Amino acid sequence: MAENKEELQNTENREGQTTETTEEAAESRRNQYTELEKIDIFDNEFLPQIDSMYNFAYRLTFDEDDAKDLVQETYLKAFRFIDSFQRGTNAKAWLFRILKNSFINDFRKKSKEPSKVDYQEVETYYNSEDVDASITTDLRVEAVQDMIGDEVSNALNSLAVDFRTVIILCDLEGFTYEEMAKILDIPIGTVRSRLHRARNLLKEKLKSYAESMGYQD
Amino acid sequence: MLPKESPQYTRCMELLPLILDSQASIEDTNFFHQYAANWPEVIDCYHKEKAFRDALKAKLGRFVAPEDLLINIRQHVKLQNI
Repeated sequence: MAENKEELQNTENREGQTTETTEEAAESRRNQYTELEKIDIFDNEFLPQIDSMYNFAYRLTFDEDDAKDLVQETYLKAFRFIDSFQRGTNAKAWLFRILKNSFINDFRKKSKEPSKVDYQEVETYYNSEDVDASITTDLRVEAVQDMIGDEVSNALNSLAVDFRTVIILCDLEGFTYEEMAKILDIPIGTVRSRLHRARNLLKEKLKSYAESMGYQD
Repeated sequence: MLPKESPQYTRCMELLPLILDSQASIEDTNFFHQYAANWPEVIDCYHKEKAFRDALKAKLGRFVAPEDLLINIRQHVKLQNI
């Protein structure tokens, strides 16, 4: 997986975004696939991820056309830099990282969405080991089960993009903390704290709605 | 029955989110299942959190990529590869 992260970074280096590895080191890890191998990787490792990619893109952009553009752009980048991908490693995580960076670098700028929330203070506290033994918003499960998908979606969509992203990656896509850390380029401890905070924020939003439906703690 | 002040209780609560997200090691999973039953509130919290995650997943569902997206991507890649 470490190798995969470096490959992902190499891809980003060529995109001119992040520069965590040297060009020399990047070149030494570059594969040289034949045209047939490239097509094979693209068809058998990349394209099967298209539904997950679209789902992620749609939940980031809230727009069908933007989601399609974002996924298409991600796949074109993936093909262009396919030599940076190590065959047999986690293609889905590799593609998700490219998509996430494309969203941040292109789409978010275009839409002028407010920048990241300031949760540094929150994360400092939540990074402590005993965080999960404390503060958990309670929510009657029956209330969520009685809600319709749109209401739950609206609550998720109202979260800041960084909180929304961790819930999508973990609860919908089933990535491990380690994979999420690599996709988002943050420490595992931050993944855990952000996830904890995101779920609590989501519960708080759903709790308000549940109360309006007549549910009480 | 172990008291709540015991280190096992604290450890079980620390492990709870890892267990729910299937991120705990085998040793930690065994530890959790060995001790969690001592405290009804830990078990209750486990079931509530699990039900919340399941409900969330079920309610949110998934958006499936439109068919023309795959066709467009293939066309663009073909052009890029020429």
